[in-house]
Amino acid sequence: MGISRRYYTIRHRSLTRPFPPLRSNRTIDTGEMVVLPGESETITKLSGNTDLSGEFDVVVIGGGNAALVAAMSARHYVKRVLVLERAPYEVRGGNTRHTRNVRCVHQQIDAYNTGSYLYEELWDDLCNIGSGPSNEKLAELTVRESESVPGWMSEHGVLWQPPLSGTLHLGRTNRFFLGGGKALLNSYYRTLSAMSINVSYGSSVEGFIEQGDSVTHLLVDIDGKRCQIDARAVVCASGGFEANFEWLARYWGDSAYNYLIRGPVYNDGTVLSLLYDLGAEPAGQERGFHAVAIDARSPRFDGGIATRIDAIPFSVVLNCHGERFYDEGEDLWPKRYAVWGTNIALQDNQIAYAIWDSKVVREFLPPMYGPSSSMTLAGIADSIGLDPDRLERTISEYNTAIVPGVAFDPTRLDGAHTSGLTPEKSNWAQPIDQPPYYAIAMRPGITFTYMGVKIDSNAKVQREDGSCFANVFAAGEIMSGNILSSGYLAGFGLTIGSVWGRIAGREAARYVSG
Amino acid sequence: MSVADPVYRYRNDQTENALFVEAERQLNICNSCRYCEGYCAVYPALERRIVLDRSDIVHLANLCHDCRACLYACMYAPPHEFGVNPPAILAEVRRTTYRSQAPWFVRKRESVRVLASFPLAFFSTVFGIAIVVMLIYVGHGLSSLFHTLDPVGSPYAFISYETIITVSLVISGFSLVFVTAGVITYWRETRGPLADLFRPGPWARALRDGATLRNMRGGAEGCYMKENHASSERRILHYLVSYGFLLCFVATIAAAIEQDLFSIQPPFALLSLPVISGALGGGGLVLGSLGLLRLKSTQEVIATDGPMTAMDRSFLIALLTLGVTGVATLVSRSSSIYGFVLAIHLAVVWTCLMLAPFTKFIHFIYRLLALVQDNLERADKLAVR
Repeated sequence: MGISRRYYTIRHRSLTRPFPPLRSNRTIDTGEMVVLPGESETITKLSGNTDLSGEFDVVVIGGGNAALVAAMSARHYVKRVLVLERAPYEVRGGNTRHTRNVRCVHQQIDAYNTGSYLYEELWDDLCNIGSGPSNEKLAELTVRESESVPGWMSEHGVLWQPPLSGTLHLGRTNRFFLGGGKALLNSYYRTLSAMSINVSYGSSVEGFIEQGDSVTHLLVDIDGKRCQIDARAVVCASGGFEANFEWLARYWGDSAYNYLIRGPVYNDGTVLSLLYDLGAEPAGQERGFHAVAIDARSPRFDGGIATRIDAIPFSVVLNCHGERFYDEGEDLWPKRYAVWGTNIALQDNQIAYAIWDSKVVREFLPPMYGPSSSMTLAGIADSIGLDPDRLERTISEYNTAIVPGVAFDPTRLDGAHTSGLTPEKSNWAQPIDQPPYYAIAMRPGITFTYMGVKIDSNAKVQREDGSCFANVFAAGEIMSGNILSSGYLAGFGLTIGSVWGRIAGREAARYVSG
Repeated sequence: MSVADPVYRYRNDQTENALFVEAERQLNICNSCRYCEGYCAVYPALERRIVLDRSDIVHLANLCHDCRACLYACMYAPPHEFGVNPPAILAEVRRTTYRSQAPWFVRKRESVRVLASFPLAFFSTVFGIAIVVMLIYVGHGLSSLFHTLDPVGSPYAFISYETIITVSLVISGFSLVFVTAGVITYWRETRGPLADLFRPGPWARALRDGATLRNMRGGAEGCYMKENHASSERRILHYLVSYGFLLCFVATIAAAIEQDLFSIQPPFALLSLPVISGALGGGGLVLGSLGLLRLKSTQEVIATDGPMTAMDRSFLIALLTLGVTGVATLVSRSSSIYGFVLAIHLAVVWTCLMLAPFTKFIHFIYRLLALVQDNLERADKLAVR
């Protein structure tokens, strides 16, 4: 029997262990507890009443949006579907916990979208971020398929809300689910339960057993207990590797250790590296990620939305040398917020400071920990540890460079700009002269990484030799590199997860049903 | 930097100041997230504020109808290190609102304990008053307690109309003083100008919000008394209790009108307005309070504040007693125990009336004031600061 054995020491990672080891550092250990097909040990510790023995039609790895969509999609065709969620119940759902809306093509105005958003416009928006889509065919498919996503979500228990407020002004293009991502997950998990889909929490996939061009068995660590699960098809929807600092450091150097991760500690790319070991072809850029500016005081993991800083378009942003380095008013915030994670990641010490004054405090969401404030610029410099003279000089240069006579309007590109600076501020430039002054230190907050596995239009994972796995599919962030190269479009991660979760689940089930 | 420290500090410092510091910390996280804005009026009201002070927190707490949808939708809820739990912290803040209305001699002595032991206070007061009522009966001879008196089924065979009215008015006056003082203090603290309290538009909308319990819909699914289980149960039980209570009130007014304007003396006919509304109201009170007591006993503890639940229970037990004794009075009115049952019921009514300002009875008043304030803010489309 052509079984290539891939057994590794199972390491149980907990939330208290911030730096999961790189897989390459793990001991390969074929001597310890080899579980062969047919000899599966009896599983006692199960989540709910899940019976993990016997063969599953489709096993979905992951517990976020893409995984759950894939599971439900597969369950429409086959009986035995299993979801392996690595996190414990309380923090289930991966990065989806922190999401809030989904960006889909829609023709009509309705209670939840304030205007139509047609195929061409979404396609243009996608092409205008970063260097455009990685694979145009798959990106086109994503945009086309997005139109039926909201209806599908509603049918599977998702509730919506009218876009009420917030500063992102996404009410036309994006559809908001009631209560945000965790509420969405709760609805989906309830639907899973109603559809008799098994969910196993605290279940970390640590190895694949390959037979020919199929993965037939999964080695899983369930709350510290190792077991083997038999699968006819596998959907990998386990996210990126953003929580793995050593992996990030391969491409970003030591500066990666100054990044903060907006999602859970579990997204360390274990499954992605297992797929690479099996010869899966990488897709997407090594340094591709969605990152935003977040409060430097945020926790290392899982700070989510509340730590994001939206002050930038109305501020002046300085690096640790007290210099401006990027046009804060380049474009509307929803189109530009995602460039700031990388902007700050590329500065010395991976830190930057936003400074604003009392005129604009109502224009953006208040920062969670509160900014530091002072009646003088010197006081502000002192509070964030910058050289007061340098800071005052930068601010006064900026103030005098503002071209007078253009009215400030936060709702559109107002053209209130500077002249003679490098770089200029091209919109919303107002003098910083009305105390109290405010400042906040920001770091790159990594949302998810783009580099993943290459798939075909059926979500089937491709190998470097040009062939495909027969029964391994991928959805969500683990394959987002097929669509996104750099830059990000608010709400599009959910779109990718929903579209490809649906395709991956359906195709996995079709493969199983022959 | 971790924010776990403030949580720890708060848990180890049970002062009111620590409570408000912690509430502000949690609400600031909510205000930078805003995912819950579709659930109820609290979150849009929070978004109208950039900096929160004590009065804002008091207002938001009383605006909260405790549907708990936000807790289960929150990715920052425990065990997350941010430890966000709005229903619990806002319930704790509401408790300070209710407590602040207690007279100074109670407040000074950690009135939470007094309020939490309300069933004891309630039943001992009932007992005391019942004795007094029975003493009044002695005019008819002590044996009258267990005998029918003429006219059969009329309370006035036992105790005079004048006595009932006088005692009721005195107790109502006493309660009204405290409730009014509470309303004025609360309004001054959360809104300011008393003139704002007399604007008809916001009042109309507040009454509609209050009458329909719009904010108990939790966005769409109702209240989450348990994780993964939302339902309209709590809202419907609230309808039963509040409209039941209202019907009992209608019964009393209708009885007074029949007596004083049409000279119809009790006992009223079975198909008369006082009897029908009294029976329906009493039934609503009993069913509603029993249902709510059951909900409280099966709810998830993390979502609420322990002493508040104790207050809720006491209040519900009082309402249940009110309903049960009221129905018993109606049912037993031509039997030999009518005198005894009537004495107990009168004692319960007067006790409820007397203790209302210091117990959960007044919660609907502050909720209504918060709704008026909310509708004022929306009408003015004004940021508060």
